[in-house]
Amino acid sequence: MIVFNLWSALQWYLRPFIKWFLRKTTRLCELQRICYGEKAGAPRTCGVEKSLMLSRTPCVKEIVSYLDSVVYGKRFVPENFREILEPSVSVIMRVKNIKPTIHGSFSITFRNCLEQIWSYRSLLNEVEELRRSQFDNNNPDHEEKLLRLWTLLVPETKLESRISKQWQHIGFQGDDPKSDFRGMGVLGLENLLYFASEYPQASSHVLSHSLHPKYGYTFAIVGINLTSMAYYLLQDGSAKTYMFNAKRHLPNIKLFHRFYCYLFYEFDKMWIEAKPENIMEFSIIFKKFENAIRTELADPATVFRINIEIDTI
Amino acid sequence: MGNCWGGVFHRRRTRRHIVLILIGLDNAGKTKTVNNLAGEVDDTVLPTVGFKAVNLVHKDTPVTIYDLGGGPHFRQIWSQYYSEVHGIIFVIDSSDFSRLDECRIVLEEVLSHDKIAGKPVLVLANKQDKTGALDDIDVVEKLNIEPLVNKYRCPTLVESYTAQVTNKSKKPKIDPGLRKGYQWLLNYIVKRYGDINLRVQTDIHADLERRKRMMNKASNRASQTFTAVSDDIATQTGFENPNFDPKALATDREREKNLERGVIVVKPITTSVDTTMTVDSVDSDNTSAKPKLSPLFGRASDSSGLTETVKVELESRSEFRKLSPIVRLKNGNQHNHIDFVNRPQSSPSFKKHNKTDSSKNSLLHDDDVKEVREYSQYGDGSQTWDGSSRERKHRVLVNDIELSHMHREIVLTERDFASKTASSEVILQASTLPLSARPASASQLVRRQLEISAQHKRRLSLRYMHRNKTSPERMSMLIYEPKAPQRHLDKGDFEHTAVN
Repeated sequence: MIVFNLWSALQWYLRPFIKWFLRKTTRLCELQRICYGEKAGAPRTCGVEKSLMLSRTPCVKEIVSYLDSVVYGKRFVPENFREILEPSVSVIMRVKNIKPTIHGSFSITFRNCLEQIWSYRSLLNEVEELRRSQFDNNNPDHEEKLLRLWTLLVPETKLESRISKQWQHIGFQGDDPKSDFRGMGVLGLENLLYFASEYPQASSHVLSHSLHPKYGYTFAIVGINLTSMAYYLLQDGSAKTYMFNAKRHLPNIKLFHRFYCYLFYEFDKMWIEAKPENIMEFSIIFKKFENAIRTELADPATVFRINIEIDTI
Repeated sequence: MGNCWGGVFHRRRTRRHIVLILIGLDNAGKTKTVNNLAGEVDDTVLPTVGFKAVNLVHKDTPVTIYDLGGGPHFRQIWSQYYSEVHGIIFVIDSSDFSRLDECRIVLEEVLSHDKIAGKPVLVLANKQDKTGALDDIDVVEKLNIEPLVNKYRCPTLVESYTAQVTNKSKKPKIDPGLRKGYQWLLNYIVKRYGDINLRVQTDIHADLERRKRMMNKASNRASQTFTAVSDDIATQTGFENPNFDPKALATDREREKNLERGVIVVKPITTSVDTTMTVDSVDSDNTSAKPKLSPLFGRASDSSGLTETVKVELESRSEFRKLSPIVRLKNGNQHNHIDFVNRPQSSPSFKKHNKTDSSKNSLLHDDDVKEVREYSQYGDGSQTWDGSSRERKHRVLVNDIELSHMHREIVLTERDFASKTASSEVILQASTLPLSARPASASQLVRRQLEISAQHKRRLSLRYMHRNKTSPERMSMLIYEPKAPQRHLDKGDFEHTAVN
């Protein structure tokens, strides 16, 4: 512990000297070195974020807090990117003495990095908000989503009533799924709904696994547990690897849903492979699964993709 | 004084580990409860899938709580954990009226399990913060808890509390209701740790054996069912644990040691077939719900079909006698701590019942045989049973004229401990009688005896703790402890037995 503290203190003092030395030798600032040196995606964006967070230049600090406030005010959407990011990028380039004429590509890559970093933060806010909003019986939107989930998952059977034993078929505990959404709120429902609507093949595949007489599990509440896992991965930043590596998408709620679908699909695969004796082994397998995912995410080159075509054949 | 030291040494000697099970319907607040006990504040409580084990420490005793999922999918798996737990915490959502019926059924199902019956139960009426929530008294009424726990002899405490932590303080305070209940449960278990743990260990052992046997699949169907019936018969011995006498703690140690030895040596556990599956099938034959009580020390099965096992058991018993003649003598003199008068078996009502019930002679015969068998099992193991069952034998002689011949034989052999084989032969004869092996009659008898024993609630008093005893309707709850007004409410039954 002491060694660790000493090292971090040392780093705090040494970092400027190292930076200065590198600056003098390479004639590039740290941000440039990252943007040119690292591969696009998680390594580059994480490097930029770290550098910005550790920066002690007043202007950079100001820009970081400005962007944070924009995110907090929920104005960080693609339409506003231009007016928000243009001045920020130019300020940083001026402060760091980067000539736009020479380093034209820097401003573009740096902008992309900023987009990703703060989209991730606004996604965090969005997800947190969804999680906090509890499932409400009186909200027609929620009710409609819940019923849609049923029709998507079990299209052949009609739901007899809103409160019915049938919910247990897709793995809710009681007669009313409402109580199972505690903890994760509407986020759990949204996740399940996305999984069922965007990946109908995969979800029906997983659901049929969950109804296996021997290795069956409770689809919905396992899904809610996976939602919480995805949520915590997002919160502690482990999911950055995934989010930043998704080339064509900025981190947004859809990407989070996709992340969730991947987790669900992979968990199902792992569960069936593990051949558990009964559902009580869930916590062990779940822990194992989480560790496997975390180690995968620790590798910055990780890209998650659902390989459904291979599995369904 | 000596008892104190005995107790202290006893406690020092044993390395205890208490295992509790936390069950209840889904969304009752089980996970939140265990979080409260562990002192964690986590507002994102998910529906538990499977189970979570939480380790706590209570006065240097490690306590493990199995927090099981409450969904209908998991309820059938609960029973796999029953054998290894020392106590049960049952959480009720007292604001959800629509599911009270379901709750009652589940509670009964749990308590009636023979691995649970007799173990201490803490019932928590959760969610008192919600408007219109039932308080503890209503919960007892609505869920019919009193007759239930008396039927299955579970010492029970009902507490109302709130799992939801309202104030966002750094160190969350455990709700007083929860704390009290938890303390009561642990104190209860700690005081009877020897007995309960012995039962738990035996159950676990039996479970393992059964699992092994299931793997081997070496038992044929007929013998299985037969032993299942005999198993059933033996289960009526009930839960002797509360009888645990603090005065005899010093001798208890010795006794326990011997008992343990007996349990190890006694073959029935290893050779008997007590698959729950077959027991269940026997159950399903009966139309009525049948209470099953597990014998405390798990030797439910001395498998009357196999003479060799009987012999082995007898050896162990005689070995016990050789080992501790002093204990026996002492106990012969120490009758004052056992209230034979109040024993259910020797109660006048029971006699009357027997006399009037002459039409059911076959049943009685069955009963008697069982009693004698039970006696032959417990005669040496627990001294407290000796006198009472001797009385019972006399009663048997008086009652059942038809079978008196046989019973005289039994009595003789019982008195003469050296010739145990004779009694076992008699049992063999008896059990091969066509009438005696009827499971239905057995269950009826078990129930009847339980009904009678339910009059003696002192030991299994459903005790009721409430914070304000002043209101008159609250006083009505004292029904659960009619004979102990002087007792401190938050102390275990331990003191009570000491008074006796």
